[in-house]
Amino acid sequence: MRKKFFLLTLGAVILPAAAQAEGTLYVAAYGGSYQSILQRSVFPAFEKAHHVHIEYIAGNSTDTLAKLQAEKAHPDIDVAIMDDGPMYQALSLHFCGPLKPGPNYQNVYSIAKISPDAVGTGLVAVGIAYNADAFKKNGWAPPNSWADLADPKYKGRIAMPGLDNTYGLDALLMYAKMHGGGIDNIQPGFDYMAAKIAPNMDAFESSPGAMSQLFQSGEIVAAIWGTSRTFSVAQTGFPLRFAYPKEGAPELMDTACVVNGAHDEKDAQALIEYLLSPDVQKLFALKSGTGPVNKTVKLTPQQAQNIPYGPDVMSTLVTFDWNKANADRPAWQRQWNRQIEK
Amino acid sequence: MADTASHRMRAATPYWLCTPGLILLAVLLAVPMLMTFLLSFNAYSDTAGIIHSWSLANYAEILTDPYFASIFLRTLRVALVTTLACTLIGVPEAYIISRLKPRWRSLCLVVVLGPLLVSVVVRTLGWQILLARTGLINQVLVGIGALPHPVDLLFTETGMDIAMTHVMVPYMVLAVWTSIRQIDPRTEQAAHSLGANGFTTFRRVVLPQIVPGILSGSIIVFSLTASSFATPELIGGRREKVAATTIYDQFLTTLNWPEGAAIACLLIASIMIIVFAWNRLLERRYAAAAA
Amino acid sequence: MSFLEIRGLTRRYGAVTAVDGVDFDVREGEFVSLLGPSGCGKTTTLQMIAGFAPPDAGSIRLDGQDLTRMAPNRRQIGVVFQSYALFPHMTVGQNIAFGLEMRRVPKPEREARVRRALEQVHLANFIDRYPRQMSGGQQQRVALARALVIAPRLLLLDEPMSNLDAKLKEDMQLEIRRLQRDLGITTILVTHDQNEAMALSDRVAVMRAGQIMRIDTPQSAYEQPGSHFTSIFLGKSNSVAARRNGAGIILGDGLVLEASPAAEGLGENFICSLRPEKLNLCPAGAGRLDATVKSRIFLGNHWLFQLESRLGELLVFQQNVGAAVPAEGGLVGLDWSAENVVFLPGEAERG
Repeated sequence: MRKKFFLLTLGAVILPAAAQAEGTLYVAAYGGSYQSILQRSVFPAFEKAHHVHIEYIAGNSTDTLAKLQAEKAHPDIDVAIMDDGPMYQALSLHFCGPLKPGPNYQNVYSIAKISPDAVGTGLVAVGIAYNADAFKKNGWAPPNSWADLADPKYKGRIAMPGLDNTYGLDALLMYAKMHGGGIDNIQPGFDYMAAKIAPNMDAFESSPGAMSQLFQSGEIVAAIWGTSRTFSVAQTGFPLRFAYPKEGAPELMDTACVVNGAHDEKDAQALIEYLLSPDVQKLFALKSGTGPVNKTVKLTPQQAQNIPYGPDVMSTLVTFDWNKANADRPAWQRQWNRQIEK
Repeated sequence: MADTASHRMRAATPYWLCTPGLILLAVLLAVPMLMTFLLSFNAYSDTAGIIHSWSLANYAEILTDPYFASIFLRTLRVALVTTLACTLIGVPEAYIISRLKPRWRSLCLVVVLGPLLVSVVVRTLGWQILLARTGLINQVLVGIGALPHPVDLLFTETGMDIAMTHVMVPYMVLAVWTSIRQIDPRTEQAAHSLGANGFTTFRRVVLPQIVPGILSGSIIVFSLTASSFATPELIGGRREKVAATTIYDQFLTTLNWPEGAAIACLLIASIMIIVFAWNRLLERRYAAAAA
Repeated sequence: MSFLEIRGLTRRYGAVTAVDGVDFDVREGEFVSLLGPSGCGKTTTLQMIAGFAPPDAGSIRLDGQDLTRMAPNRRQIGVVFQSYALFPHMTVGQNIAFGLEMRRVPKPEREARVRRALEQVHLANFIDRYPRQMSGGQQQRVALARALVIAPRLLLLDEPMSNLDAKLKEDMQLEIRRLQRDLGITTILVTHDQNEAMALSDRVAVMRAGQIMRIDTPQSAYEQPGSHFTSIFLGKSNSVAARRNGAGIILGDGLVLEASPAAEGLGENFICSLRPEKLNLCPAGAGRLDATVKSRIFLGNHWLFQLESRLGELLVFQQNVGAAVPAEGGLVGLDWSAENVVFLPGEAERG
């Protein structure tokens, strides 16, 4: 009698727990504002619907890439979200597995379908972020050209990410293109930056948190930065605005892929489909300022401010051949360390 | 017969008891260091990743490239300046605290050692705010007219020196403090009775006796500063690279782990050489005080 | 005016008064000991004279100069510490030369004086040794030489021999006395050892609870202690309760003593003090009273007897002249001469 009672109680305790047993899905993606948006607004609905707990591994694109390299034999990460540049590198090193296209995937711009193994989840433009109030106070017109950053009036008051960050790489490529070179001839970019741009820089700061800090403490008034970061700082009330330079704004995308050999492949594929859905895309646009990759998303002009959306903006976007850039990037990094970041 | 056998077993007991600790040390410290050392001989290609070949190419590149020379020079310069500053600040500080009344002494020790309880990253972020162009230091200096306009402290080597000194002074104070406690306070009274004033007593009687404390303190500060990462990263920025931040870049940005490992091994080697030389120099000069 | 004048010297530590209005004078060239149990304030007094502790009240005048608030390094007073306080990182020669360096004595003269100081303490060959390479006694002699080489006006010795073994202590005591006499240096010694105090001093100051109970030559202080405390601190004493009976004096339970002018002015009840060496053993019944031998201890040059009598327990010293001595348990008689009886005020106290 006592034995039966004991087994019943044990069952009553274990069964509900078993029914609610959850796996864990590991997602590696950017930290900062992106992380808080995902964890607060995007993941909870998915976790509930799929009975899975999502563990967030924060890091910028190169950090995540380094982790994928370290884990190559036994990956812990299921879904990796990185800038497209490092994603191309991951693809060439076979860190990603094939995507299972769903209905949302079919509605995605072709520019975002970068490979059968990876897809863009948000559009970002790279240009110049500036403190509108500081500019007004100094009586300066907002910047509208990459060449503006060479202006001596900005000396020590501007910053940019390093070459380890995609924004930095985009800037170098733009400057090369503007001075007779390009992705095949990068030297004009280095020469111009070493001569005109680097001396004006207060710092080379790759961390988004530290860059916001530099703006907010007044240390800098402008920086080479992306729309999504500008958007999040502006959301806090700080008077940060984004300027699309007239020579063109390099686009980059947040891209996602399912890691080759991931433990929870089913949930990983479902998560990427979920990220491409119109609701989540609109959420990204409204909360983090990334341009939607899903064609069916509609934004009002007010909502679309500072976001890459609409035919005018889409036409100024410049795309670079990331495979080529990735091949040359290590050599450029060496030169960057010696010529620019000193 | 049985006696010697059991005696030998008893004599071996201390070694057996050390084994768990030794295993821990070996697994967590010796093995990773050995792996890093071996990694430094491998090669790296941007397309194929780490190649398990063996050569001294990495070391050759680091030792001949002036780029790396300037980084190591900066690393050692910052470590040296910080050690000097910590000695000049920490030694008098420890002495003064040791001569306070017990109630004030405990309070001051807590104030000096308290920062050790706070994460070094948090402290360094605080320095970022203080050292900024619009930060407190510049505001005060310009406000009282000592400076015509704000001076660049953030993202400079000087700023790094200042922040690192603040981080390291507690270690120096601790090391010197233990040495001071071992001095017979009557020797200072004896010096006074023989006609020495406060400063002369400190210089001729106290200082030579605390050299062991200064030695261990400076070794700790030098090694920690030369290998420190957080403060140079946050205060120096990407332009003022030191060895540790360069290693970080290699491992996480360029993914050239073998070269990163080579820089790490060279850093360890140069710290060890300098520390041993410093130790020998001081011990030889002050062998008399080593009672 | 005396060479050293101490007036009303006081020092308090919180609620405790360590030194309570101490007055005394020292003549030039005199050797005075401050003697007392621990906590009596003798070391604190010395520290104030040296300048290591500021007095809360009172004054110190040396050779007419007011030292009370002067920094210790300007007082020109030599100090020898209990722990010797030699500079461990300097050789013996450098230790001794230190005071001369502070006085900017030129090198040749400095070296000559250091050598002479070392010869005075018989350590001429140790000039290049380090303190840790020497024995306690040798270190103490170096400390002495270091204090003397600066030709101080006053020499202060803070229990310098308490860390030495008995034989060495005796030798050092004689050594210090000789040096002090030869150099004629005014000296104050702090000690808890009464034999040392009496052997070395021109005058002994017995201290208790921050005050000087008695300051006089060793012999006077010993024979005329003036207080019960001093009588039991300086040497041993048999203290017996006494009371007045008309013109006479009654001891203990009724032993009658002849009247004595020394007992005048001491009130109804007082103390009778008999030194053990002044009591004589005689055959039972032949003395003033009888006693039983409780124990006897042989101490080489004399015997110590513990006797049980109608006056309570009594101690007797008897010089060893080779004659037979009473056995334990035996009955003996006790006698003493009237002029060896000392009367002291107050009730009998614990020793």
